[in-house]
Amino acid sequence: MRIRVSIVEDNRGTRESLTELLGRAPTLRFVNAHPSGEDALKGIPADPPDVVLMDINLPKMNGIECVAQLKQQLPKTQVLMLTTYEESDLIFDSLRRGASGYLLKNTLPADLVSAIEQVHAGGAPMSMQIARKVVNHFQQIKKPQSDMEQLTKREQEILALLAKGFLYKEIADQLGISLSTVRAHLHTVYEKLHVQSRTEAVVKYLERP
Amino acid sequence: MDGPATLHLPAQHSSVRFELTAFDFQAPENVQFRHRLRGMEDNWVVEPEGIRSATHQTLSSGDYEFEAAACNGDGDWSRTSTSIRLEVAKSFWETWWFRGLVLLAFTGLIVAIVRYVSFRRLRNQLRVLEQQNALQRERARIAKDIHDDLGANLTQIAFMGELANQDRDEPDLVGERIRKISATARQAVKSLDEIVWAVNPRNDTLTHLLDYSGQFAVDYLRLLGIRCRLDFPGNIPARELSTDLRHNLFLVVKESLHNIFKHANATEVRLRAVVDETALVLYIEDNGCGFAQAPDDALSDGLRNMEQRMADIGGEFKIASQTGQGTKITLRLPWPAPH
Repeated sequence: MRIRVSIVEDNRGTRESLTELLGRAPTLRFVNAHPSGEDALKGIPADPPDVVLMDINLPKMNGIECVAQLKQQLPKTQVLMLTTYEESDLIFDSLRRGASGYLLKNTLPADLVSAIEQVHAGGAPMSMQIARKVVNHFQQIKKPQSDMEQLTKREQEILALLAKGFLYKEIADQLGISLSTVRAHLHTVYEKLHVQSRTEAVVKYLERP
Repeated sequence: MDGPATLHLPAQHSSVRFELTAFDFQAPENVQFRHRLRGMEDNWVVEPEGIRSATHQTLSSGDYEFEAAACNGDGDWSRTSTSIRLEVAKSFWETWWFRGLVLLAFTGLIVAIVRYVSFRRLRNQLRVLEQQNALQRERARIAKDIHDDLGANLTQIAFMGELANQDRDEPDLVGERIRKISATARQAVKSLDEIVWAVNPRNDTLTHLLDYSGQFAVDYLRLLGIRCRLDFPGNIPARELSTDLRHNLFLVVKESLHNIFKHANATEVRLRAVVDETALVLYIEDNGCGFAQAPDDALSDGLRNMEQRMADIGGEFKIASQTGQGTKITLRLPWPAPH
């Protein structure tokens, strides 16, 4: 079963290159390409893919907002943010709002395909910077509404090692667990981020004056 | 009294009272006095019977003459009157030298105020000019970076493309050129990423500096097969770091890592950040071969450049190494004074 992939990208050249790349990858099937967030919200739910590649910088509705809305309609679809520069603040925001990882547009095609396959398989790519931001973020939650708003001890351990620059494999070795366990834990961390962000939005809405 | 005498009164006095006496052997109770204080008023003041004194409240400075005359019970005023001169001293604030001093002081004050105001204005102008200057230097630096890094990369890509086109009948050669083009383009994007990071004011914080440098170190060393361990504080205090400071510090870190790759033969690098009230301190330690003294000129030049770069931003660069014992670089950046 090929992995179904859609693209949301406003730059035509990039859109065409990505489309061609997806077309050539034997494990992937290209579904559709959308030039804007608005277009994506209309088109994607109608023909849901497994993975969406979403540009962070879209005109009018930005990528972060688009992810948030898309995940509400299609919670099972994984979204990978595409970004030209490593703008960690924007990237973290998009991860909070529903993305499962991010890729630099600069990435080699082979690595791009591999990242799509991994995220579809439940993997959760996370860089050192993002790990630090995640830890910081959860530390700042004053009144956790549920378990989903707190990190377990194991999750904290894994994030701490990531923040120190350890590789997934090294973390697995250090903690005496398997690589897939590490990935699963991080996958949960992303889900917690998503839940927490939705809760926060609701709380903010309820607390409005 | 015989003849006019002079009474000297101090400036501070409350009142002056003259006791008057006259001789009248027949009806002393009918004696009446009149007096005047010339210098104040020329009119005679006649006192009712029985009053034998004249009182004046505080007199202002000057010369006066107090005259008094008496008349007997029959209403005959004495032909002559007795007088006494009074000299009331000037309060010090009435003296000419005091007033002169006051005028001098006042003038001095005006001069001082004018000078202060113009000093302030000049200082503000200077500050504005300095800011403009800093901005201009920043723009020049960005222009230079773009020109140097990107310009070179893009020119290279164009060149490679031309060659590839000429070699299009030789697929191996073309393949090689195209690979080079891809690699160069990727490098160009990385350079641009760095320039964009350095220039964006949103990133002017300590947190951004540490995150970016840390991520760079991890990624860069990983590509070279060197393990990188980061030791950063969990909670990074909010500190503002200008584009200049953080970019230069990042460049020193980058060059240190380049050097480690080129010379150290290390398998692990530890990047540690310590943040306190006075400064940021970064330690870059490697487990490589170390050195007794810089083995070649390029390295010494490089080290000197890093020293200068740190000095330019008000910081310090120290390097400690022993053959076979690895190397430790210490970068210290005191917090800039707030303005």
